[in-house]
Amino acid sequence: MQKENHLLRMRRSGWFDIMMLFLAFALVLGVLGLVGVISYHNAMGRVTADMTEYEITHSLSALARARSTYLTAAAVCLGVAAVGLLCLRFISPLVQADPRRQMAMRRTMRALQYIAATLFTLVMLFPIYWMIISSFKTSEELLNPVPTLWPLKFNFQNYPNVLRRAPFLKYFYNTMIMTAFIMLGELTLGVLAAYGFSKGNFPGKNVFFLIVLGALMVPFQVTFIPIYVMVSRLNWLNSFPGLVVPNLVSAYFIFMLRQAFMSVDDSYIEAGRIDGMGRIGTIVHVLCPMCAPTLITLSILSFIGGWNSYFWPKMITTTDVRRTIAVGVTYLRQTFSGLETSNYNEIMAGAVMGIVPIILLFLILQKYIMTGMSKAAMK
Amino acid sequence: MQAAKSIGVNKRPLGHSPLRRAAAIAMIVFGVIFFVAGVYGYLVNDLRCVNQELFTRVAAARKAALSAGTSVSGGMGLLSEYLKTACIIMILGIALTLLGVMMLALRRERYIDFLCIVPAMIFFMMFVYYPIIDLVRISFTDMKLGNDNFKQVGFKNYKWLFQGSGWKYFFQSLKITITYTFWELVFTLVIGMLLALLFNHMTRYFNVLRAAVFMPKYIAVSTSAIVFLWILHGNHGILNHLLNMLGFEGVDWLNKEDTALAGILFLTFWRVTGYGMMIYLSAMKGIPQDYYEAAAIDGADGVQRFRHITVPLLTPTTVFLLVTTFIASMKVFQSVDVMTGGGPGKATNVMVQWIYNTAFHDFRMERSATVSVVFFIILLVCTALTMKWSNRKTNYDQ
Repeated sequence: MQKENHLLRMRRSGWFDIMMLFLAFALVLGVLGLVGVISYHNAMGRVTADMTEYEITHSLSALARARSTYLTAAAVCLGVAAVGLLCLRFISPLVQADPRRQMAMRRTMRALQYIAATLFTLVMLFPIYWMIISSFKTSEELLNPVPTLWPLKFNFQNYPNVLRRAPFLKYFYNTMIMTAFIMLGELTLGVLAAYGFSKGNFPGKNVFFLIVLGALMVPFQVTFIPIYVMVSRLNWLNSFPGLVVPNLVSAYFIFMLRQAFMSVDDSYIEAGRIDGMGRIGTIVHVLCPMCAPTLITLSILSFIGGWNSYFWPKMITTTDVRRTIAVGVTYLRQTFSGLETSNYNEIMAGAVMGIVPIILLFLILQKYIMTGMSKAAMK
Repeated sequence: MQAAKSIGVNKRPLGHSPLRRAAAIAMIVFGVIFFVAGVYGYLVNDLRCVNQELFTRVAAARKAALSAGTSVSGGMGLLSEYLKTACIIMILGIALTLLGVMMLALRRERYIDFLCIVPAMIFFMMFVYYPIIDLVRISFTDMKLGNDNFKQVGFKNYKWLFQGSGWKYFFQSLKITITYTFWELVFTLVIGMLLALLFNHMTRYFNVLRAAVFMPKYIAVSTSAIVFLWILHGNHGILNHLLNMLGFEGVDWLNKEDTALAGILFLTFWRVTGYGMMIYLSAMKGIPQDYYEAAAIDGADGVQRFRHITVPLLTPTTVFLLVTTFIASMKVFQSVDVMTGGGPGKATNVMVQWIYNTAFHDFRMERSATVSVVFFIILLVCTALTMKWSNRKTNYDQ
């Protein structure tokens, strides 16, 4: 009778369902792992002495090769479920019986939340930390069998070495110019088009807007071949026009700016017109200030997008002349011709130079980026 | 009256006066002629029907440029001049025609409004819609990268893709892409949601943590891929060292067929979970607190409140994330290109990587274009289906 009662109580709790979910996971994973073990033994029975290791590996099925992963995952799930159910059975009645204990429980949970969140953040920050630390190590320390979390001796030579090895200043220059022009184009043409779509009044407006919406659906990763052919025929490979022109207008920007401009009442614009402003005047002095948050967010996104762009710059830059930073860093590896393992300190130094400007920008303009994100999600 | 005129209530069409009307008609006529001439010039040059002499001269010039190592200014010089002129004439023609039509048909106000969207429209035509047509055209030719002498070959490339040796790779590539997409969805939706629960505590300290978790999204994928190459390094990587310390065997992540995709997924995890978290958190802020209080009075514990209030009310956000992440992750390229380049074997040969390698490593532009066409159709169908489904889903909830 007592046991029955406990089971009912446990089932009323939401945690019970989660533990059942874990049990189900454990069951499925365990079955997969067992199938893997069986097929592994079957395959091993067929192995003959003259088979190479490669052939043996390839005679195994995917399940057989991953059998230990499945079994470990199943064991972990089972363990979690067991611990959870035991806690539900023995600890939670104790806690619920006493309000003081409930308070203590809540405080423990809060503390756990702090600890878990901090730990997770540290894990997420680790790659950046590791990049920076590795960029200060010497080659010998880099190949230490036991990696050091803090350099034994700071080696600042990596940065000058990288600057000598690859024209990073040139990369920076190229990236800055390209990003500036892309930003300029995307914003001016975007604002103009958004004005036309939101405040303009001409026949076929919706049809033209469908063209914009359609352009949102056409991925650049699919249409790059004809664009590449076009650009190479215009002799724009390795040049700023080639880098900039295919990115000059963004359908997403037009869409977002149109949304923002629509929310501005027409009477503001009419007031501006009565005061003697022209069309450009109303856009610059009325619409843009009123939609400043959207504009700022979009310019940041445009800057970051331009700075980080990889696909197109990689394709059309064949030499260092117009290579951008995101592409240049990846080419740094090839300059070591197979000896990259002992030179990862220099590669990391290059990566630091590529990443740090964006991190700084993110930290400074974080507020705008975050509001922009949530706005995009709310649309 | 003066004010009314200046804000443009002037109803008189521009083409009212005979002189202007004549000018407009002339513009249309010349515009059409220019446009046709431009298209003709472009096609003539494009299809290499120019005399053979010119073609050999171009080839010689390109060879000389290549041997001199100045690929910047050398190469297509002569031909590209013709093409450039043809393009300029074409655009001029379109612009003139549009101007003429506008002058004839519209009032001044509307006509200037329309002019605002013209640059963007020309851009979309040139760099979004024309490439689609050109892509299909290339898929019916035997164009190679760097070889401009190509001809029509009918359905040969499609036969290669669907009946020949291409099908195996296509199927494999699609499978890998979908596996990758599945995991990216899991990271964004499931882990993102769990993280949103973990980080849902509005203090300054947590603000800092959230920003740190969210930051990787804005770091260049190519550069962070380099960092992860070092972290996942077979012999000296810190991850393998950690595994060794915990008693596991180190794995040469990116050089084994079984684990290469997992190695790339480490980077994906680092990049996308924070994004999912931020989106979910900003949506969670919009859920009224009363719901939770009411549920608490009814005796629902934390898990039940999450399951019966938070999750249902976040459905629109989930759908938004699902659709956008799905479409974006089908097009994954950067991380794969830097970390494995599609290898080892073809174990991480995702769709875009395959298209890229076919075009720029095998120089088979035509095959690459064929795969692009098919992939584009797949993406369009997926997008349309998810959009339709998401519309139904969100409408149902509101």
